[in-house]
Amino acid sequence: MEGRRGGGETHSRSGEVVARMRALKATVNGSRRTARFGGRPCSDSHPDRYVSPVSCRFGRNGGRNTTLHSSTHHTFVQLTVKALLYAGVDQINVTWAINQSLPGATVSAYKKVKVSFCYAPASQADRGWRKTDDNLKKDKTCQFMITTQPYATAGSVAYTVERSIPTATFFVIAYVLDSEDAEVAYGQSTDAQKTTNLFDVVGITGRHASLGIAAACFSAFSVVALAFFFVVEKRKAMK
Amino acid sequence: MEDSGKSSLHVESSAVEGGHFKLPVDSEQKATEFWLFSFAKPHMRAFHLSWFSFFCCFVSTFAAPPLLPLIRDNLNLTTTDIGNAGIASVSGAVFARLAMGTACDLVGPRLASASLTLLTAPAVYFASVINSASSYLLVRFFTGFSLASFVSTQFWMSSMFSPPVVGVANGIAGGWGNLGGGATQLIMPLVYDLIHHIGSTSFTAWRIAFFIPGFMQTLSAIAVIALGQDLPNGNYRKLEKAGDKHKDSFRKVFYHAVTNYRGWILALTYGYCFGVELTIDNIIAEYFYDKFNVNLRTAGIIAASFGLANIISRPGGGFLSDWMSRRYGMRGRLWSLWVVQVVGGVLCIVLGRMNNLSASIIVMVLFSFFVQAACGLTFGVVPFVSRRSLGMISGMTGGGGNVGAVITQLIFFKGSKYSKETGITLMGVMILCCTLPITLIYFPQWGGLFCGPRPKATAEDYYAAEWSEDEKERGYHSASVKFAENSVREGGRRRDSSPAVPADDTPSHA
Repeated sequence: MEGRRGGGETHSRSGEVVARMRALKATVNGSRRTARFGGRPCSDSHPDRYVSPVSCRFGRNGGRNTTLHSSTHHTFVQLTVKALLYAGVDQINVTWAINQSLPGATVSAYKKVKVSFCYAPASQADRGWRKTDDNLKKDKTCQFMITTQPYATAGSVAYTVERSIPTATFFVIAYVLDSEDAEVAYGQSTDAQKTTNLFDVVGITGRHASLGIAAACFSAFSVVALAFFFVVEKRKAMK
Repeated sequence: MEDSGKSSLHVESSAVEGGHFKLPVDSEQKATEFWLFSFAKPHMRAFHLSWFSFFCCFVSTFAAPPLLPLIRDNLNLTTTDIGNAGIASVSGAVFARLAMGTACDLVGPRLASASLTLLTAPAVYFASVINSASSYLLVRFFTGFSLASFVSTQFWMSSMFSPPVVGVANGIAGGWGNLGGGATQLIMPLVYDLIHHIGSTSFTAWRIAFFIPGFMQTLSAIAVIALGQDLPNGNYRKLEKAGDKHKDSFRKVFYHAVTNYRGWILALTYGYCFGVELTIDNIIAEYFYDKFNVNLRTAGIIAASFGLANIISRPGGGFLSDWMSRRYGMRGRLWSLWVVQVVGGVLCIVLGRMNNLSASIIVMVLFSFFVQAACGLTFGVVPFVSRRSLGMISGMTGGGGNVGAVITQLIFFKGSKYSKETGITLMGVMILCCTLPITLIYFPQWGGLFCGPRPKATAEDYYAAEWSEDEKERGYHSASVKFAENSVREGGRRRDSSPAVPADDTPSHA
C-alpha cells in the first residue's frame, strides 16, 4: 500500500480520506442506500443466481466458474474465479466499474486504479504481519498487486496467479488513486465483514525431488564420516 | 600464601614428555599464554577449531529467523507456530548440554563435539524439505541440539589453557561462537538473494540456502576430528590405554557435580545472561520491525548487530575476569561478574522503555555488551568450581543458560499477554533478581563476594576433596593436584611477599 504523500494539506486530507473510508465501510455494512462502492453482499449459496448478469469469462482451465458480485445493481468489483486456484497455473478475471451516482465523489481527482489480492480474516488470524489497519500506511492486508491501470469508468484484467502467492484465502480490492498516489476510493469483491465470496489459493511448495535427494546424501555422508573416524580412533588406540 | 611454597615447582617446560610446544606451558602442559593469530599445535589449533565449529552450530540454529518472512508464507505458519519453534530451538540444548558435559569428561571434547555436530547436520539439510508447522518445529528442535557444542568448547579451552588465561580463552571461544547468531542474520538473506537472483523462485531459494549452514557444520566437524587433540599430551583413548589418564566413572563425576551448590547457582545466573541473549536473538528483529516500522533488511541489520557485539563483548568479559583475578583473585572474578550482570539487567529495563529508534539502538548495543560480557565472566569462574567434574559443571551451567531462554520466552514472549516492550522490561527485572545468588558463592580457599578466605583452607584440599582416600592412593587425583598448584593466583595479590616466592615471577604465569 502506498502511503500518502504531499504537503501540509495532507494531514487534514488524510484524516478526511481515512474517515471517509471508515464511513464507507459503515454504510456498506448496514445501509439500504446503495453505497458508493460495494453495496449489499450477494449470497453465494446459489452461485448461479446473478442479480445483474454479466458475461462470464472462463479461466484457462475451464471448469465451473462462479461469478461474484459485490453489489446488486452497481457493480464495482467483480470476479470470475474457481473455488480453488493453483498458483502459477490458474487464472482469474476481474472487472470493475465506478458507481457514479453516489454523492461526494470527486471523480476529477481519480487518476489510477490499483487492483490487489488481499488476505481474508481467516488467513490473518494469529499472523500480525498481515494485519488490517485503518491507516493505510500501516495496513498490510493487501500484499500482492494484480494490476495498476489509468482511471476509466470500467476496466478488467485477466490475471494468472503468480507463483509467489502463498497458500491462503483471499479477496480482491480495487483502490482508486489520485495524482499523489493516495487512495481516495475503493471497492472489494466481498462484503464488509469479509465473509462471502472468498477464494482459496494453493501456493507452490518450492520443494523438489532433487533437494530431498541432496539432503539425504549429505546427511548420510555426515553420519558415515563420523563412523569412519570412530573406527580409525579405535584402531589407533589399539596400537 | 600457603600455596606459594609450591609455586617453585612450576617450571617453564617447553620440552617435556610429549614433545616441544610452541607456547609456554605449565606443569599440566596447559598454555600460559594466548596467541590469537597462531595455529600452533595443539593449543591454538584447538582454539580455532573449537570456536569455528561452535560458530557453525550457531549459524545453523538461528538460520531460520532471518528467512521467516518467506518460510511463514510458504508453510502457512501462525505467530503461535513461530513462537513454539523458537522455544523448541533452544530447549533441545538444555539436556544436550548436560549430556555433553558428561561426554567430555568420559570420551574427550574432540569426539564429543564432532559427534554432536555431525549428528545434527542432517536436521539442517532436511530443513530444505519441510512443508508444515510441525516439521518446521522438529527441524528447529533437532538443530538446536548442536548448541551443546558450547560445552565441549569451554571444556576444551579449560583443558588446554592455564588458569591465568583460561578466562580469555573461554571468552573468545564462546564469544566468537555466539557470533554465529548475529552473522547468520546477514549470511542467510545474502545467500538467499544470490540463489534467487540466479533464477530460483523465492519458495525454492530459501530451501537451497539451508545447505550452506549444513556444509559448514559437516566440514568443521570433520576438521575437529581430523586435526584436533583432546589434551596437550594427546587424545583421551590413547592416554587411557597407556595408563596416563584414568578413565573416570560416570556416577562419581555426576555425584560431585550435582552436590556442588556453586554449579547450580552459576546455572541459574547464566540463564539470565546467556538465556537472555538467546531470547533476544529470537525476538529482536520482529521487535524493531513492528515497533519502529523499519523494513525487514534494516531490522535484520539491527538484529545482527546485537549478536555481532560478541566479537569483543564476551572475550572482553573473559579478559576482565582474568585481569581482576590478577589483582584480587577469585573475589575479583565474582565481583566483576555480579556488577556487570546487574548493569545488564538495568539496561534491559531501560531498553523496554525507549520509544525513539536511535536511543533504542544505542541502549540495545550497550545492553548487548554487558549481557555478553557477563557470559564471559561466568566462564571465568566455572573452571574453578570442580576439577573432576569440570565437564558436567560446564554442562549444567550451559544447560542453565538454555533453561533461562526457554522460561523467559514462555513467560514474557509467548502469545499476546505482554507487549514486547513490557516483556523486555520485565525480563530486565528478572535478570536483577536471578543475579542475586552470586552473593552466595564462597570458595573456602579464596573467599566470596562479602567474605574473605578461611585461614587454613587450600586449593589442594578443595580439589582433593572430590576424590576418595582409595582413589588418592592410586594417584587418580594427580591432575587435580596440578590444577590446584596452577590456581595459586586465584588467591589474589598479597601485600606482604612471602620469601618462598621466587624473585622474578615464574615465567609460566604470564
